[in-house]
Amino acid sequence: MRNAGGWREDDPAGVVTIHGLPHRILQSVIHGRLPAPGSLSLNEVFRELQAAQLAGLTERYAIGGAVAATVYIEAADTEDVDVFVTLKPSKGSSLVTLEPLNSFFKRRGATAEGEQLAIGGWLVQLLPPPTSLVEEALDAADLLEIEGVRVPVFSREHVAAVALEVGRLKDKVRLQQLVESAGFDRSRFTEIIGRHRLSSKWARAREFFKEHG
Amino acid sequence: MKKVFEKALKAKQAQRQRNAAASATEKFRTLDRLHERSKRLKSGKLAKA
Repeated sequence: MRNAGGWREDDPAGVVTIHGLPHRILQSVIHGRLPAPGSLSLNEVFRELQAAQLAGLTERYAIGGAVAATVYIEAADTEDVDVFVTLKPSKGSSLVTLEPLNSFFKRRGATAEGEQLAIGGWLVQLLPPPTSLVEEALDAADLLEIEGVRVPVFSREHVAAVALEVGRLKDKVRLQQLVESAGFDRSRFTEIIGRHRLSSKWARAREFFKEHG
Repeated sequence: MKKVFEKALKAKQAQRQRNAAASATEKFRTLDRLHERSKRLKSGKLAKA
């Protein structure tokens, strides 16, 4: 399909191309970032987050939510990437805002989509830790290396504890899969939920699992 | 009928365990594919292809 100018087309696989180059790669060339052939789109997100860290814009960050859960259980489709981040205050100010970080990503090709950023075809949600549990999960994140990029990811037990804390139906499903996964450290999980007063919620969740098989 | 269902359920569980045991890189690739597919589905391109 061509537009009125005749320079843009969609190939049958659904990849938008301009002059025969996939749009994503062309964007990367324009902004000085050429992804390795066949590299992950998610890795573009990880690479950008690492770049922000190296530029000194973030204090700590880690991937949480469904993308973090993917490391430990079967991959399931998700709309966005939840990135929990703590920031350094700007020079001469005690105010901490996401603005410098958002500007950094936009200068490198990200676009704003409501309150999220579109990076590498993914919607990225940058979030300050909303609870003490998430704060702890950020501190205790595991460091993975994916295609040469360092990726801090919430631990298996912290992803489970956060799913318990949030408690939507999809979080309950994730929680059950994590608890049943090989390598799940039940005593560590029990300690975490005890510290964050989630033990009674866990008892209720277990009842829910019994009822709903 | 019940036996068929149980067999299918076991096969699905075994598949889930195999998928869960893949490397993080492989699983992120799967996530990328699922995400791309979902976007195409929403835009109606999958039906055309």
